[in-house]
Amino acid sequence: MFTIMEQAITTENLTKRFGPTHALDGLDLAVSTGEVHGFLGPNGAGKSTTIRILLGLLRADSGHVSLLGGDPWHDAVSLHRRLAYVPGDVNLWPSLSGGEVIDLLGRLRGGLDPRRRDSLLERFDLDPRKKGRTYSKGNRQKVALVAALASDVELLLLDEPTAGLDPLMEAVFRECINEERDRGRTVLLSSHILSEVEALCDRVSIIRAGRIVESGTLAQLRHLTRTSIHCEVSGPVDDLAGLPGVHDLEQEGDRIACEVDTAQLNEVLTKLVAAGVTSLVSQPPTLEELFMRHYSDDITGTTS
Amino acid sequence: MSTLTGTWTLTRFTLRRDRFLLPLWIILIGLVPVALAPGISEIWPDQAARDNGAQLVNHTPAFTALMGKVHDPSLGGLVAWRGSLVPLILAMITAVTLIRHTRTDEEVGRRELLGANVMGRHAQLAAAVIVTAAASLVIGGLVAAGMIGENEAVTGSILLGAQYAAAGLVFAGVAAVCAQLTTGAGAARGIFFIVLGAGYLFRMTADLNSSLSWLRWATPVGWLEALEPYAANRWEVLALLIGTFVVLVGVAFALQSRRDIEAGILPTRLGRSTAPRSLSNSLGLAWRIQRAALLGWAIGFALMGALLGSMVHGIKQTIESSPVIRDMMTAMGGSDVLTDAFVASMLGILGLVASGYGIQAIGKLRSEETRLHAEQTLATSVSRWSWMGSHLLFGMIGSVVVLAAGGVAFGLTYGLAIDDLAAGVRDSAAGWLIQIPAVWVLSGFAMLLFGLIPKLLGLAWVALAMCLVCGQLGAALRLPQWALNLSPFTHLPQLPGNPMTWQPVLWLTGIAAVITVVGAIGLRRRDLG
Repeated sequence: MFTIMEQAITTENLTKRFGPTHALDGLDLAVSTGEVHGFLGPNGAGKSTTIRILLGLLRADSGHVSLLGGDPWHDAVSLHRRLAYVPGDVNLWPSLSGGEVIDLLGRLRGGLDPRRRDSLLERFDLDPRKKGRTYSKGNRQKVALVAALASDVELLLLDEPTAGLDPLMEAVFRECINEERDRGRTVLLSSHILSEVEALCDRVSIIRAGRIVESGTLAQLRHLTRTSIHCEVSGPVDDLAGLPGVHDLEQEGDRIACEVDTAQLNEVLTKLVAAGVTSLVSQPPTLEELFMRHYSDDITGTTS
Repeated sequence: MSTLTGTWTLTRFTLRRDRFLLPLWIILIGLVPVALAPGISEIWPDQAARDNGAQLVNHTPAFTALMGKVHDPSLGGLVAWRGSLVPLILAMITAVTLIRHTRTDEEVGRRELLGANVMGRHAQLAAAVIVTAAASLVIGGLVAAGMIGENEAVTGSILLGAQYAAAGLVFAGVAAVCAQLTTGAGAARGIFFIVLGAGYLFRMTADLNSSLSWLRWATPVGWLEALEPYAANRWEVLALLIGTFVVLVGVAFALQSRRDIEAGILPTRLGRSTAPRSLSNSLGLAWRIQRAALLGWAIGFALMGALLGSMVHGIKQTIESSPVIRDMMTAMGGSDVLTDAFVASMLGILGLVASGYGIQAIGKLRSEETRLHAEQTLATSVSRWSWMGSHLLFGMIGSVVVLAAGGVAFGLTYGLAIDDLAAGVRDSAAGWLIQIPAVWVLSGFAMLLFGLIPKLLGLAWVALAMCLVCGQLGAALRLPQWALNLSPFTHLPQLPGNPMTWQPVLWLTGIAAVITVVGAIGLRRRDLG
C-alpha cells in the first residue's frame, strides 16, 4: 500500500479565492520525498493557505493536489496519521498544560515516542507543567514543535515554526531538522527567514501573490542571482558595458564596480583578467538578494 | 502619565466596536415596559380587576417565585412587576459587554497591543465602565419617559427607570471585579453568573418565605425589588445601589493596580506534565473543554430545581389557608390543577434555560475553530465527523443531563415536602422529560448555523431569547398565535396536568434530527478556520 513515492507533495494549477482576493493563483509546488523543502515568500503570499489546503482544512477551488499519494480533502484522516503540522500561530487550549497538549496531539496522530519526547523537552528547555494560557509565544511554539518532532511520521509541515524562538532555540531547531532529514523524513518548511532556509533546505520554492515564481536547489537559484564585483585593473578594459549580464556598472579610472549575472560570470572575469587584475573583491549571491528581487518586483508592480 | 490617560479615546473606540449591538439592546430593553402596558390594560382593564389580579399574583408562588410580588396595583406597578426579569437581563448584557471589552481583550492579547501606547493602566476598564454605565442610564431614561408618557405617576416612573439603570450599573460593577479575578474571560463570566444566579435565588426565597425575607438584603437583586417603584418609592435603596456601584468600580480599579497585565488575582496552578489516559481521543479532548461548564450548569440546575421543588407544597397550603383565594382557585379548577400548572411552568423554564446550555456547548465548536484549536486537532487523524460529534454529544446529551439534574432535584425536594419521595420524582419526571425535544431543536438550530453560516451562530441565542419572550411574555405582549408557534416550546403538552400527546414530540425530534444532520453535512463541506 505504502509505495515509496518520489514526490511527497505535488500541486498543479491550484487556485483558491476568498471573496475578491486570489489567495492562490495557479500554484505548482513539488516536494520530493526525503528532502527539506523551503517555502519562501512575503507575508500574505499564500504560504499558509497552501498548507491549509495540504491539510484538507480548506478546499481548493480548482487544480490538483496530491499529498503522500492521496487527496488531502478526501483522505484527510489516513494522511494525517503520516504527517505532523506546526502552525505559524500556535494557540494552545488555555486550561491544558503543555505536556498534556504534546501527549494529546501525539496520541491523536497515532502515538509518539516517549523517550524522544523527553529528550526534546530537555533540548528545547520547556517546562511541560505550565498551562497553555501562561506560555509565551516562543514557548507555545516549542510545545507544537515537540509534539510534531516526537511523532513518528513521514512528513512535517512547518509553517514559520521559528517565528518566536530565540537564537539558541533556533539552533536547536536546526539540529532537529537535520536529524529529521537523516532519518529520511520529508519537511516542508515555510519561512521568511532566509538564513534559516539557506542553512536547512535542499530545495526552495519562492511564492509570490499565490504563484511559485522560482523553484530549485540552492545552487540552481544562486545561478539566477548576481555576483557583485569590485576590482582594480592595470590596463584598459574594452566595452564591459556591452557584455550581456553586466549591471550597474561604475567605472572610475582603473576601479570597476558592477553586478554580474552569475551565468555570465566566466565571460566577464575573462575580460577583466585580460586587462590585468590588481585587486578583486567579489560577494557571493545570497538567497536574500533573489528574494528581494522578486519582492521588489512586487512593489514596483503594485505602484505602477 | 495618569492611570486614566487615553480613557476618552478608548471610550470612543469601544462605542465604535459596538456601534450596532449597543443601540440595538438599548432600544430593545428600554421599550419593554411601554410594550407591556397595553397587554396588562387588556387583561386587567379597571382598578377592581387590577386589585384582584395583584392579590392573585401575590398568593401564587409560581408568580412570586419568578417575578416577585406586586407592590402597587396601578398599571405602573403591574408593569414593574411583570417586567421585573428585564433589569436582570440588562444586568447580564452589561456584564457580558464589560467583560468582553476588558478581560477578553486582555486574554487574546489586544490589551497588550493597546497598553504599549500612551494608555493608562485603568483606561480600558474605565472606558468599558463608562460605556456600559451610559447605556444603562439611557435605558433608564427611556423607561421613565415611556411610563410618564403612559400617564403613570411621575415619581414612580422615574424610580422604575432608575431601577433599570441601577441594575445595569451595579452588575457592571460586579462584572468589573470578576474581570480582575481570573485570567480567562469564560471563568470571569462564570463567576458573574454564579453571583447573579445566587442573588436571584435569594430574592426568590425571600419572597416565598416570610421568615427568610431578610435574604432580600443579601443581594443587589433583592435591593432592586426593594426599590418598590409606584409603591414605597424607596430612594434610599437607590442610593445604596449607586453607592455599591461606586465601591465595586473602586475595588476593581484597586485590584487592577495590584495585578500584572494578563494575570488574575486568583492564582494559576501548574498542570500535569503528561496527559492522563482519558485525553487520548477527540471525545477526551471535548470532555476537557466542556466539563467545567457542564458541571457548573448541572450544579446550578440542581440548586434551582431543588429550590423550585421545595415551593410546590407551600402553594397548596397558601391557597387553602385563605378562604378568598381558595374560592378564586376553585373557580379556576382547584388547587391540584394549580399545583400541576405550577410544576409544569417551573419545569418549562428549566427546559428553556437548559437549551442555553445546549447552544453554548455547540458554540464551543465555533470557538475551537476561531481560536485555531480545531486546526491543530483536525491536522491529526481526527476526522471532522468525530471532532464535531464529540462536541455535539454535549449539546444533545449534555443538555439532557443538565435538565435531568434540575428535574430530579425538583422531584426530590417536592417529594420530601409531601412525604412521598417516589411520587414527587414520578410526578415531575413527565414535566422535564417532555422538554427534551424542544431543547434538541434549539441545539440543532445552533448546529445548523455552525455548519452552514458559522458567523451567524449568535442567531441561536436570538432564537432562545425569542422562545423566552414567547413563553414568558407572549400573552402579556399579545403576540399572535403564529409568532408563538415559532417557539418549539409552544407545541409541548403542559405536563403534569394534561394528557400526553406524542405528535409534537415526534415532530420536534424529527426537525431537530434533520437540522442537525444538515448542519453536520455543511461542516463537512465547508472551509475551516
